[in-house]
This record gives sequence, structure tokens and C-alpha cells, in this order.
Amino acid sequence: MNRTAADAIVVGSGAGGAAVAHTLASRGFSVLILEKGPRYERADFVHDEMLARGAQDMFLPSIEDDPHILADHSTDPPTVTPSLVGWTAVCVGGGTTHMGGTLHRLHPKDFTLRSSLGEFYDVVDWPYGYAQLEPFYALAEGLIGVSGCGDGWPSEMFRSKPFPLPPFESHPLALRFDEECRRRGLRPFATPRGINSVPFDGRPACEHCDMCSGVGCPVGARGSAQETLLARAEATGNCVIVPQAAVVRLRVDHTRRVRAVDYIDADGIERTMSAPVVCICCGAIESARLLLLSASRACPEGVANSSGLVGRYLQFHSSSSGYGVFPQPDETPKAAPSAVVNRALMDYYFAPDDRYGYQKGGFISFNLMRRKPLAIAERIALGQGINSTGELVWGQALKRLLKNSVSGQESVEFEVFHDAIPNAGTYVELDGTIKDKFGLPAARINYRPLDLYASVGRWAAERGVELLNAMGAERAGVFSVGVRNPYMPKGTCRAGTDRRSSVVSEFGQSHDIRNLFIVDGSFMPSSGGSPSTLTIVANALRCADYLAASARSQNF
Amino acid sequence: MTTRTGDRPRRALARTGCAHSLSAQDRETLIAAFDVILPGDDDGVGANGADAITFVEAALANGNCRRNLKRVIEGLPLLDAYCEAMCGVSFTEATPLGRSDVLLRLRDTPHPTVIRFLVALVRVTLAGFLTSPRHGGNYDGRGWEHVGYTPHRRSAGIQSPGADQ
Repeated sequence: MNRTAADAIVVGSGAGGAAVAHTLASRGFSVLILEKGPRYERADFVHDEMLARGAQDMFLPSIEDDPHILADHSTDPPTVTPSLVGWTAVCVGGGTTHMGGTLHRLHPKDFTLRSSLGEFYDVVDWPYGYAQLEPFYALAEGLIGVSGCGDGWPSEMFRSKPFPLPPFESHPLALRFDEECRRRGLRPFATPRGINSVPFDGRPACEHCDMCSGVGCPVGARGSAQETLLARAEATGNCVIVPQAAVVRLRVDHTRRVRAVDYIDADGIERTMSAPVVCICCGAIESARLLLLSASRACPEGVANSSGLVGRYLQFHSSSSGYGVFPQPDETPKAAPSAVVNRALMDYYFAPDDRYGYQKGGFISFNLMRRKPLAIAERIALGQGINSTGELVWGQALKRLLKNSVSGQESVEFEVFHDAIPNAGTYVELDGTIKDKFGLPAARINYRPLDLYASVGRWAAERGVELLNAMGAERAGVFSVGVRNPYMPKGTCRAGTDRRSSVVSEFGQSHDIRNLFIVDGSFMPSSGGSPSTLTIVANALRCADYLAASARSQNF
Repeated sequence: MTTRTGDRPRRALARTGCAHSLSAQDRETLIAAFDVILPGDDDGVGANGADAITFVEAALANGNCRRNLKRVIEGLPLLDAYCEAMCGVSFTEATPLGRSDVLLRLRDTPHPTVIRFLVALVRVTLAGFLTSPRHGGNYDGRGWEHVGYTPHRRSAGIQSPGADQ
């Protein structure tokens, strides 16, 4: 394939870019992926608790090279600091490389929030509904290999196909959880995971190694973009991935077409590539930044920005969490290492009324706490977390507390994913002062949290604690409420039908520039109350399906 | 519990030398502090029995645990000086009870630098006790044994043939 004359250039290889590349390549289009980060292989992911702590260095840029300037408007004046907030992973496969793999669908009502729940800040309906995305949810689950089970699955979330992989083996605590939930009229179900419960698609089953989230998988059991969508795309022979290629500019001509893409390669040399179609898939913050950085005479406000909305309505997930500690009597048979809790509830996805100003709760995911001996010991010694004594402990007292601290109990932790509400105070712009290592303005993230995040988060987290107490937890409590989840940013290039109030069409096509598609989390008009990775993949498959089908008629 | 990789850092140190090393006095002070933080007793080895000092020497050479080690090494002279002022002898010369008293007094000091030093000291001690033996400490997996952790074969640094296929 002539690398300077691909049919499409895809910028970024995470959940969105990989799905676009897969669809186009499998339909015979040549695809060139420019990825800013390096390419890792399985052997690069060492299984080691200490080294895993340094894994951030592997996935994230240094704060000097690529800062995100965080202006936190929860204080007055705002607190402004260089940060790595909003970076998930800069490498081939993006954040999916180290994701926990909760690949859940949004609720049908998430697509019609404004119609369903009324006017609230800048909440809008999506330009399409659950029914339009459902076939692509099913396709995404099949390509990635999502494990799950129909039992307890919310009936209002129609599924055209069963989960391609069976759920993981249930830990005795999972069965106790199911029993308690059903006693209360709740509908527990196995959390859909993009991790192989059984060998699938030439990749082995999960080894249950205690590391996982935050670390690359050394055996390839996690359905990362690199292991699944990109591997399939490359296997067609139509897709080439260029790692360490940092795109710095889109060149738009007077006919309002993207004519070329400028990037800086691994040797620091600036190069230019062109293709009939360009797809931007850098994640919500960096995609918006690239469009704004590419301002020119043809697009003085930035590329695809005639609406002035590029960068607007940024959303992070709000997250709340809690735990329960369960004694493990000696006579209890130990559960198999492969047995997990891995349970989810959608019963608190909506609040019972609008006591918090908005009737939206969140998805709650329950898991066994990972057996990381150093992390557990540190929490004990430093008087933090579930074994908290509240002060620094050492000597014989520490020795006693550490004895069998890993094996002597089982702890269940849970996380509530709840909505971030699009609002005018949370957006991305170019920083006026701070620049990246190439001398380009850094992204400035303006963040205005709403009181709602803490109140709804506490309400949902208390429901989790209630459940764990009812299951017989020795102690249970809330860890955090309404915390900004630094991963999975969305918004910034909102999809919609009206070019004055949105940046892209329902198929990710720029309203302004016909041969430009923006296909990552930035399209999401609202965040939903569950992790967004599967939705980003499904939407990208839908957009790419449209692009492939209409390429000829649109005469790119 | 045996691992195949427990003595690798020692060999690496012997081969490459140590870019940043502890002075003999720092080394003795740190060993004495380890005995207070995580002592050996009838219930099993402590940090020194797990060879935490080898972890420290290896970490200084390869950059692991960098921030905490820096804080610890910078704080060791302060520890000695405080002990001299309180007990009239250096930390290594003090009795076990005297050393323990010194650390307890420091813990009650509201000065943030002192607290950061103590937290770093505890973290380094635990790292030497509980990180994979491939890093030099946790000798023979004795730290893991104490906390009841059965390492995944990958944590132990043991690869079975075909594991990555």
C-alpha cells in the first residue's frame, strides 16, 4: 500500500480509531493510522506490583511534554495547575490497553434525556436512539469478545444477540449478592467484561493475576483495541499503523476540505500525509485541541468550528465508591482463584425523584478487591482505607495487623458511575501560555463540578453499602462521592442534527467539512451513567459503516 | 517458598556497581530503623529477615521507589541527630526501646517534613518486605508468607513454558 495515498487517514488508535480502521480496512479501503504514542507488545507488560505502579509512565506523557492545564472552578478564583487529567493512554490501542474492561451499554433513556427528564443545564437528546445503536453494540461485543449473561439483564435494554462469551465463574460472595438483591426485588447481573472468560478469537482466557486494570495484559486476554480491532484491521493487509506520529495540524483549503495532515515522526521530523478522508479519533480533549490548533484563514475559529462549540460541553464521569469487608472463616472452602464477584446493578440508574435536582443515578459495579499485598499493607500501616486505624502504625502492632491480611478476609469494593452534566462552565480551550514539547498551546480544561455529583453519588453509594451490610459484611462504608473520574472524557464535538448547536452529524461527519469525521468520545451529547468505552466503539462502527457505504456517492 | 529470581538484583549490583549508594552509616541506620518498623519475632521474620536492605540497594541502582527513597535518605541524618539530642547516642547505638521512643516522638511532631520522612520510611520498609523477590527484598517470599499472599506465578517471576502463546 502506498502510505502517502491511503483512502483514509485515522488519527489515533484507541476505541474510536481502531473501530473505524477495522470497518474501513475490512471493506477494502486502505487505512493509515497515525498514533502519537508507541506500540507495546504483550511482553512489555510485566506482572509486578511495584513495576505496575510505574505503568503510568508507560501510558501517559510526562507533564512537561504534554500537560493539560486544569482550571478547577470549584474554587473562586479557580485553581489552575498543569496536570495529566484527561489523558488515558498514549499508545497503540489507547486507553483500552489498560482498561478494567467494563463494557456496558447505555440505557435507552440516555439517548433522550431532555425529552424524558426535562430541561437541565445543557442536556440534549442524542441525534439517534438506542435502537439505531443496538446492532452496533452487538457487533462491538462480538468483535471484542464481551463476557456476560442474560440473567438479570435489564429487560428495557433490548439485546439482538446474546453475549458472545459466558460470564466468569461466580465467587460465593457473588451468589450471596444475587440472593440479597433478589430478596430486595433488585436485578443483579454479571458485569459485561471485555476480558476473555474462555479462550476466544485465538486469545487465551484470563489468568486472574490480581493486576489487570491500569496494567497491560501480558497474555492478551483483555480485548484491547490492539488485540482485537486493530489486529483484525492489520490482518486484512489494508491497514498500516505508524506509532510515534504526533499529528499537529490539519490543513484545510478554501473549498473547506481537509487536504493534508501534518505530523511529527519518531525522529522529530515534520511530515505531511494526505488522503480523501480524515478521521480524528484522539479522545475528547485532544481532538478538540487539534481542531482548535488547526485554525487558518479558511477556518479562523478552528477546524469544524463554525458553531463555536468545539471544546464545549466536556464531560468526565462522576464516580463514587465504597467497600465491604467479609470475614473468611478457616472452615470455609477457599473460592477458586478464577471465581469473581463481577456483579452490576442498574436499579439505581435513575433516582426515585428529583430530590437532587435531576432524576439520574448511576450504574453500580461490584468487584472483589484485588489482592495486592503491598497496597493492602500500605493502607494498614498508613491508617487508610478499610483497615483504617487513622494513624501511622509500626512495630509489633503492624506485624500483627499484617498477619494474614491478604488471605484472612475478602473485601468487595464497588464503584458508582454517574452522569456528568454538560454545562457551560466545563470545556476545553487552548491555553494562552503553556505549550507542549512541540511548542504548541496545551489544552486548558475548565472544570465546574455541580453539587449534584456529590449528592447523587452519596445516595447511590449508600445503596451499595446497605446491600453489603445486608450480605453480612463485618464492616462497610463509602470511600468517595462525586469524584471526577480522570478517564473517559467526552463531549467537546457534540453530535446533532442542527449545525448551529452541534459539531458533527449523527455519523460523526463534520457539518462544515465533508471529508472530516470525528469519531471518539467527543461526539457524546451526554455522558450516560456507565463507562463509555463500548458506546464509543459501537458509535465508531456505526459511523464507519456509513462512511464506507457512502464513500462513493459522497465522492470524497 | 522459592523463587528463581530472588538473588538477581544482588548479582546486578555486583556487575554494574551502584550509581547512588548508601553510606555505611546510612545503611546501618536504615537497618536499625527497619527493626523498629517491622521487627522479626516468634511470628516470623521482619524487614531485615526479608533482606529489605538489599531491596533498597537495588532500588537505588535501578530507580524503583525513587521518591520515597530520596526522602528516607535525606531524613536519616535528621533521625541520628534527633536521637543524639534525645538519648545522647546515635540511632544505631540506641537500645531498641530508645529507637522506638525516638520514632514515636517524631510521629507526634506536627512538622510536615518529619511526617513525610516517616511515611516514606514505612513505605520503603514495606516495599522491601513485600515486593516481588526479583527486586531484592522479600527474601524467599517470606513477606508474602506473613500476609498470606499466594503469588500468581507471574508475580513470582516464574514463567511456565507456553504461557505467552
